[in-house]
Amino acid sequence: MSEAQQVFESETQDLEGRTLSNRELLRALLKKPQFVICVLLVVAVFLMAAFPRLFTSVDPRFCELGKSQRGREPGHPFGFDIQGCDYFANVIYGARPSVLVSLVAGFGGFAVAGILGLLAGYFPGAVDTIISRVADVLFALPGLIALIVILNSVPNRSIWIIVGIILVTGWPQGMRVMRSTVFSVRNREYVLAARSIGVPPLRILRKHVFPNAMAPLLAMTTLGIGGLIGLEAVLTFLGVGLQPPSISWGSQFGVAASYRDSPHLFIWPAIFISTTTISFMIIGDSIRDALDPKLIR
Amino acid sequence: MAAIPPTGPPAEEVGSTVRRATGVLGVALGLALVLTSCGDGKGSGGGAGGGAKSEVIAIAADPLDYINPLNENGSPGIQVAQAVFAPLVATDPNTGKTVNVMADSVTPDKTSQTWTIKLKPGNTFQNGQALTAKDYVDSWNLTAQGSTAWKNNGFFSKVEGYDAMNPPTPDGATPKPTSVKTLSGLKQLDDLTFSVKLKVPFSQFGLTLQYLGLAPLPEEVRKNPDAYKRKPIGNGAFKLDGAWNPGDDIKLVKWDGYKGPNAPEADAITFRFIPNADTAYNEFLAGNVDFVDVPPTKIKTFKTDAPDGWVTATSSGANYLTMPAWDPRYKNPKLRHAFSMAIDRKAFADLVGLATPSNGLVSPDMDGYRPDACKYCNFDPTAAKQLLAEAGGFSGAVNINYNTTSATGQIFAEAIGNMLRQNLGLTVKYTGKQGSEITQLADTRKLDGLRFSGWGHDYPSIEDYLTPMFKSNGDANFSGYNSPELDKVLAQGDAEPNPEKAIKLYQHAEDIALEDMPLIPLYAKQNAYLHSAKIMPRVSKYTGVQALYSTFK
Repeated sequence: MSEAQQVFESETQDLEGRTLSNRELLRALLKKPQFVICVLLVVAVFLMAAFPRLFTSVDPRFCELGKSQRGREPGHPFGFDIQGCDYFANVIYGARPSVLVSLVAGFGGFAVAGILGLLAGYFPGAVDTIISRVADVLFALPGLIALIVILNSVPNRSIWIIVGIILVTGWPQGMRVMRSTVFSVRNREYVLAARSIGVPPLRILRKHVFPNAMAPLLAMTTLGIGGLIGLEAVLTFLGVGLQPPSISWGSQFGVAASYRDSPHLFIWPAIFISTTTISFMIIGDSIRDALDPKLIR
Repeated sequence: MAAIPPTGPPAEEVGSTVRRATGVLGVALGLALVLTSCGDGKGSGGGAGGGAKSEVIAIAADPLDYINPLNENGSPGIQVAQAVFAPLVATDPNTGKTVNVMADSVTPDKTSQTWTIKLKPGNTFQNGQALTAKDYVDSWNLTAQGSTAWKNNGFFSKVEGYDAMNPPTPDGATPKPTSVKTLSGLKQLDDLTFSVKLKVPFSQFGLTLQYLGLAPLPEEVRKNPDAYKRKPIGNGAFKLDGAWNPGDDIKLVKWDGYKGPNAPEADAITFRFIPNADTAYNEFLAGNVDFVDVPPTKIKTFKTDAPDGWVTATSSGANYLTMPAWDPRYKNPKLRHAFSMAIDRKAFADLVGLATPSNGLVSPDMDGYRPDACKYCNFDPTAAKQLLAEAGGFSGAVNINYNTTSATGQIFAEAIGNMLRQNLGLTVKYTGKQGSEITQLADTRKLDGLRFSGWGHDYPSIEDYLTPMFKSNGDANFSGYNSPELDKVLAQGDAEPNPEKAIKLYQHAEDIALEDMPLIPLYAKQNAYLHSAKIMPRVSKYTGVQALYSTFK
């Protein structure tokens, strides 16, 4: 992680030379075939999450225990899970929590880290000190262990509680990136000009600083969404994530781990999680590359 | 060692909570059984050390802090005690009959209220002191004293004079010493004979004497038990090999002075404590121990993991879905029968693996088990729906509690939940908690909804299923069940000296419990164990699998 951070920080310096407009960014991205493919895959997963019925008409909660762990048969391409439910339908329906957690936590994190980073970067002194020291404290907590401990103390975990706790513990990284970008932008001529004619600080932040400082954080967020899908699965696998009867890829993993004799239980959610995660990472990579001034020319 | 240790697989750690009775003899005996089956094993590669016939037995539990059978009702401790101490009587692994070990005879009077126990002459403790009736009487008096605070105190609650030594104390307070130091029902008649007078007749008392938790302590230990808690002086087939400190393996060697029947073949035994059951299993696969229990997560794979070295024991235990008697929504017996008939036991037992569907409340290997005892245990969704309608339906969601520390807890809970939801149209929710938390909530009658429970007998009698779980003040009355009629029938059975007539009465009690169905029978599980190539554990229908009594190749 610290390596990634250095990359971002060096980028921030270079950004002083040149900034991409949003349209240029999009055009550069669409030229990359791997970006297009991954966007299509991600859109497919989003559709699964939003409208699972487009993909399967089978009720994932209709289970016949007698068919437990059976392999594929007509109408049931992925076979049956431990409870004898159709596994294809379960894997499709399992997309929703993964996507929700990753998107909400990802972009929620973007908002929280962005706002705090803006404030810390633009108002050195007390505001910066408070925000940065809180971030330091959160950095000192070992991430996954802190999540496990906190989630274990919550009796009825809904998806929103999981998202909330990921947000609370996860913002410092992005805040630091944002803060260092804001440092480099706040003394640019247009910001100084706006300040000299008495534009209020909030408006300066909104109109001048944020649009010019958000790109590295955006790239980092997209890169991180893949990781968040994995994190949801890890937490559920460890028994501190979603609880039954929620259907999620993580809980499918957790069950499959105890039943090694039925590899299909493991393989299908694994393929879906890997594909989604890798797609998000390639998208994030592409955005970062497009933003890298050294590669632009 | 006792010639024939009590048998029986332990209660299963099922999806949710399995609990043995604590305190009272039932519990203790159960544990003894459990220990037996779990404990034995020695590693082929392992450091049993010494003799050719040595074995390392893995015990998947936290290390013991002391060895004292009278203060031990957990399976790990009893398992070790079984090697170092010998019981009065034991179950013969070939016939299932009770045979004498330290006792020469155990004789009830006509009403089964006073029991006379005569010891065999010539037995000694490992320090050379002769074993006499006084050792039993004094050891039992010491344990029955509430202020001694030993775990098997509850065993003696059936003996006359117990209440005088255990005045009621507020919860959590330490019992104060009483002026009465002896049980009035316990009398030494001569050097080798003593008698026990019970508060009420109890026809099964002779069977309970096989519990290892009743072992005698020699006089020097009784004087200062704390000084000997890590260097026990037993009367069994093995003694400590050198010094032992808590946390170390417990290394035992054969004691030449043991004159009891059926001494184990091993010359040296090492008990190795490995708190995590999966780790213990992997230690076996790595060749470091000779015997290990198969944990529930490995039930589907152990045969391929150790193709030449596994054994299974017929079940001595049963598993149930427990109704909360304190919640009026679950009160109607028709609703309970509806739940029961909505469950496909065959498919559920297949899911559990190595299990057979239950059709009654007692373990299938018991004398007195009836395969057709339960009238409401067949899978019939249509009839179940109708019963539910007659009961007036169910309001709200059925909550199923499962143990999060068990890898299979959630899976079993969802399987039951799916059947209730689909076959009865109920709304089901699930709550995962630590097993101890579920038990505590149930004990204080605050648990919302159903949970899993299991029970393994402490002595081979169907009475040891019915009394602990269904008697109104039973030690393991998980469901809070209370039926004066059942209590009366049980008391009649306890007072019936004719074993066959007693079984009939106990079966009648089982019928009453099945009509009210505070527990829904689910399945009886077989236990599986792995053993190394150099040993063959003793396997018996009656005593389960015992590594202590392994034969060597």
